[in-house]
Amino acid sequence: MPEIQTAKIGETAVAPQAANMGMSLSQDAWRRLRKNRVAMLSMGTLIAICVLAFLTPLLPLQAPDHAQTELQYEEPTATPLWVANRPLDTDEIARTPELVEKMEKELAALKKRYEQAQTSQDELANVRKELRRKEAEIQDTIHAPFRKLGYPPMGLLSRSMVRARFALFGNWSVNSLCGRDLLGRDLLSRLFWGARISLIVGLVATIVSLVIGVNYGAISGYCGGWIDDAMMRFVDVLYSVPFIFVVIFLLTILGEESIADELAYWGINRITVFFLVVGAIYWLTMSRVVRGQVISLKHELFVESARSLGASQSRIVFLHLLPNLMSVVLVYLTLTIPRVMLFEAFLSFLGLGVEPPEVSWGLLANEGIKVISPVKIYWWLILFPSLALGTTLLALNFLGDGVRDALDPRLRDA
Amino acid sequence: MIGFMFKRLVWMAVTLLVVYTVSFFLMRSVPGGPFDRERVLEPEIMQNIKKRYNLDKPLYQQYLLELGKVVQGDLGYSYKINDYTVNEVIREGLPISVALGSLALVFATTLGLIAGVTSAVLRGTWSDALLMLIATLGIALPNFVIAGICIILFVFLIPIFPAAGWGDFNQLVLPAFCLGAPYAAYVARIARTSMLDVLSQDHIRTAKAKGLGPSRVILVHALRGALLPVVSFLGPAVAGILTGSLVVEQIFAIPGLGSHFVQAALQKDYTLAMGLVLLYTVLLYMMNWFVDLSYALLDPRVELG
Amino acid sequence: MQFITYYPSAASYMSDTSRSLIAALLFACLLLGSVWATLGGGLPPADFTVINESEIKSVDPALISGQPEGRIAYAIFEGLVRNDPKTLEPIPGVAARWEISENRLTYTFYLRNDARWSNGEPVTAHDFAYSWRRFLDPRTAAEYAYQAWYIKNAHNYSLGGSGIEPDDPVEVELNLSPDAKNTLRGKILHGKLVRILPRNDDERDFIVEIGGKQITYRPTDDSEAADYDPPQGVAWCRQVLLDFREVGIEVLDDLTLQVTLENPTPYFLGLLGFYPLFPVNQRCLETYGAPDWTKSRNIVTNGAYTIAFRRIRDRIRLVKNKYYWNRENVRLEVVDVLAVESLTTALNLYLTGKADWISNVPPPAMRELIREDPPRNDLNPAPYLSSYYYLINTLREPLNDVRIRRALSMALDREEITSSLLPAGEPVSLSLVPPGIEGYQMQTADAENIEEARRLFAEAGYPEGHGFPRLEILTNTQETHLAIAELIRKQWQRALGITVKTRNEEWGAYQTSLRQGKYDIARRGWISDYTDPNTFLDMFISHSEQNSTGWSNAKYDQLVENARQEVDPEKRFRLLEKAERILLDELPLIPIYTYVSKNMVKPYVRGFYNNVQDEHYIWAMWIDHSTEGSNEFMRSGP
Repeated sequence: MPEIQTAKIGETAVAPQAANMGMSLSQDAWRRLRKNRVAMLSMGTLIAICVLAFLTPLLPLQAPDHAQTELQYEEPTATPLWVANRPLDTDEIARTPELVEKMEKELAALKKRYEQAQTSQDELANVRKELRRKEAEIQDTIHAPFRKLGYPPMGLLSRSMVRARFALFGNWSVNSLCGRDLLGRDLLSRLFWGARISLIVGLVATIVSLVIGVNYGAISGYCGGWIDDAMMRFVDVLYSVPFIFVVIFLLTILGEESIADELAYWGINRITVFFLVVGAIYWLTMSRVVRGQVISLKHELFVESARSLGASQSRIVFLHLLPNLMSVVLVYLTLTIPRVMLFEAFLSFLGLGVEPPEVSWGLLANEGIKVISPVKIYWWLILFPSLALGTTLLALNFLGDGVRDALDPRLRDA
Repeated sequence: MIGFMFKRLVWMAVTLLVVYTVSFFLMRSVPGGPFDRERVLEPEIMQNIKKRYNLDKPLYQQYLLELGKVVQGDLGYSYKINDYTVNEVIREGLPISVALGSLALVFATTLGLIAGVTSAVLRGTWSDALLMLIATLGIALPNFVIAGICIILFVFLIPIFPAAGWGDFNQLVLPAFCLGAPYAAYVARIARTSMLDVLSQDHIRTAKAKGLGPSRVILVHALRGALLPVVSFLGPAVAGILTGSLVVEQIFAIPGLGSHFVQAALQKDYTLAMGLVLLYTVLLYMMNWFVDLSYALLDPRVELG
Repeated sequence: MQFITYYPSAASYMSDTSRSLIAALLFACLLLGSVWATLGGGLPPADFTVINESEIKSVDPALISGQPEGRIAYAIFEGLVRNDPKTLEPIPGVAARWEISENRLTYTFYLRNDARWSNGEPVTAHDFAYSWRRFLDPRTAAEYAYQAWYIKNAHNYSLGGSGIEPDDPVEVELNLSPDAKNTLRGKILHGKLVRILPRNDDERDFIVEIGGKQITYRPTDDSEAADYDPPQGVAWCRQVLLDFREVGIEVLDDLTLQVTLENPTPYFLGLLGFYPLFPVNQRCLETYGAPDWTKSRNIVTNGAYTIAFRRIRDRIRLVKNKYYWNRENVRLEVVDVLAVESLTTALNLYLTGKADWISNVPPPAMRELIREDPPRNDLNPAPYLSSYYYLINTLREPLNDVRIRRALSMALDREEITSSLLPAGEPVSLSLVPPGIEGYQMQTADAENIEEARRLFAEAGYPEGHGFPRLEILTNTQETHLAIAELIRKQWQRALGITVKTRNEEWGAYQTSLRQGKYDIARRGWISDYTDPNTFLDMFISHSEQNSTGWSNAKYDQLVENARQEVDPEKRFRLLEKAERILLDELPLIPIYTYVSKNMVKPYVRGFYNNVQDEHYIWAMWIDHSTEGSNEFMRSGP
């Protein structure tokens, strides 16, 4: 079986070389990056923000969606430092699995009925509606104890973190250090919960665009010829599409009740649409850059040798070329995340961002801006969200500059 | 050259067709339409309206008929504002957006250049760091936050500008500044980098060695060098300002295309929204084209293909 | 958000000097361009500036609804009667006087002979007959058409093909060429309906006897009529309607109009002062067609003002109509009506002196303004005849269960809503008809009772909210409505254990969703069109255009109908009270609170009164900078 053998040879012979190259490159870059104080500070900040955002459910914060209208627009206050909130109903949580199990059974029965139903369209639609209702009911039952306290819908991990938080701190939480909003909700906790959404939005949407962009660019660059021509021409066409407009157009159309219901059934909410759409926009630049890199790498020695050893096309692209694109990708990543986060803020401003009870920084900043009036400025509602958003984006920008400088000394600022 | 123009024109048509097709089918996939009145209509009237708008025909025929109208430049009536056609809305809004955009561009370049050059000359000092921090902040903060802060500062605390509206030059300054701010920040960063590049080059050192005063060196030689990359940034900046006016026009209640589009999209005024998407596609395309053309004019090495 | 791609020094091999030159030139062009563009927009200031909350849909009085549109319509058009700006009692408008018959069914209006259109032509009884016919024409599809259904046979006329029966006298409107102005009417043939032949769900043929001959008419669109020959034995037409001569609108002579009503309607005169029944100029409409006739260069109006120009989403500039009969008493020459969507921006404009009257104040600012000490001399909130409530879509399960609807109402803590979100002192409400109508006994729904609400939920099969589907509250996009929906969402979740979501849409989209019944629960507000409980109660009869809840109750319909025919005002109110009782027991709506007017009016503005409909007419206002003490606005009590 000569083919397998050659492949193996290719792997042992070429991969280490490539890996070595990548390694030495990144080690070198890392050393340079470590010397850049601003970049390191930014990185530390970002890591701290990410860790805090991840641990939010565990922290002794008030529930982000707990309205206390009697405390409306309370200014930031630190005395007393600890306040008591409603306790978590552990009995109800304990009862939940039983209820859910029962409903799962009903759901299974319904599904069976749905599969067997071959009667009229009307009945099929009816059963489908029931199915959806049941599924929603199961979700709602699971979330109910948390929802009552004012938590947004959470995954399994976050739910157990919230339970751990109540076990650790009881119903004590930090007072509203950042003030309260119109409904008397604690801004501090909303900022923490908003961080989760904002960061996730930035990351996921960027990764989606990365995956599309890198693959598209790599394939285009590697294939060359008319394929390359056609693929790049397509990118050119898309470059001239005013995407902001298309996104708004799309989001309003998808917000139509019937369409939104259908999408919700498939687990697609506005955020998911946002991921997909933003991912679909921001890959354009990436694909161009990657294509350029691939074309120049294509004729490098290690690629030529892999090819002469008979490695398959896809193997060359994905195993040998892509790892060498790391530097470009990294720079791109740090520059795109802030842009995506800004875009989310922009959509929140238009009322097309996340939907309550979820919160994001963009939404919070917008809520602050909306209550500016010459009569009274609730400064905390503008200051803190802007600070959170500004710090994160500033850090990302500085880190991006640093990474670029470190990876490509030729582009360095003098 | 002519070949290049022609090719670009063809591609613009292709782009427009793609945008049109996608928007058309999206539009038709949602319930509602021109007959979507607040009142339940008599069946005959409903039929009449459907016939008038060709809604009784199969989808592909509707598509072709509508396409024919758009090609002739007729973008139809607004669904929600009964008294206006889409063309009229564009005719009113475009000059306003252009005025706002050009002033924003002027702000972006002047403020950006001044900040960038100052920062480069004072390299390594606290002022340099502060200027660059402000510049990065300008890129990092959302437009509407900057606008909000500007309103607090320049409308209420130091009342020198009106809060909103459209009509005289005063009302244009603040929104143009907010719109131009992020681009000023970019320009500042670019100007600083290229200025430092130039300052370290041989002929500047020679000039200095010849005993020319520092201000003359900076103004005549170095500044000229720093301008060039800034000029090449203007293309993308124009495109950005064009689309960025969405927010600023909303906040300052300026009746430009941006606020028309946002309102149209939010109120599901699909004909108006689609007309504006098409218009923006053309504008964006023209801008990219213009940038390429100016590169070719400025740099003989660039070939138009 | 910004699409910035920086091409690193896409270098540079033209000579440096020429490139700097190009850059400088470009720069100068930009600066000049922006200055030029704004100078073009420079306007001489107006005498008076009003902020309208949104861009209006149209200036055609037949097609509009809503307060922002109304402000314009009242300024540029005038009906047979006007409403007194203070009391809203009918006062002479185009009609100088009128007579009402003994049985209160026939009104004879004598028009003043000096009423003029803005082109100088006299306003005649024919103008009203033309405008009202157009308003009722099903092709106009006027939303408010039901405001004219009090006129004899008007309802049947406006129903078009559905309003006629065999043997009725009918009129057949023939097709015109597709190029004809869309405001023109086709040729009218008068005849007698013989039979209606249904063809399918949407289409019908009408067999009409005209001059002893039976002809089958098939309604169609003009272009189809022009392009295709009708099938054998069928003739094309635009529509077949009841003969307009059957409708109780009769022109006795140029200046005398007689109107016959279906029932004695005590508030009919008030309706005539309401904009849907304002006249439009036939010649203007037919010369330019719709919507071109509404353009400022074409429009002909008969009110105190006419439109100088209109810039979409910016402003409408009104100038005094120099032919207006009462021009001596119109004191503001030039008025700007600005379309500003954001309440905060509007307040900013007011406080910086760029506007003289704003009709709404954002709640966070109101909280502070109302507490100011000494009290402001330009803010005087007062309740008016209005109601803020949530509609329930009773066609959707499980909202079709009255127990659920009652429980939802009982689970609300209305005090919390008004005290925390509505700082102008809005009173909570448990009824649809607000207090303030003399002689009408207030009816109320069950007060807050969470225990009972939970019990009802359990009884309906949803103990502790288990199994209850997700509810969605639809509101239009405005900060106050969003905040109220958020709070109600939390109250329901807390009290009943159910999952509630909120959705918001812009005004136009929201109205469409309402009408098409695409909602579970929707926020709605209603301001009385005239001072009578009927303005609220007739919205919920089965076939009302405003009833988008799907709720229908024969007994309720009967009571409202009986009240309509009742001559004795006492008995009438008792009937309406009974009707409201049914409504509040069945609860297709959840009353929440009563609106309070939130106008801010500069102290130098005179002739502005708080009244029961929060309706203020620009023609009645004037500016007097020498005003000392409080103006009419601050003096007028709630």
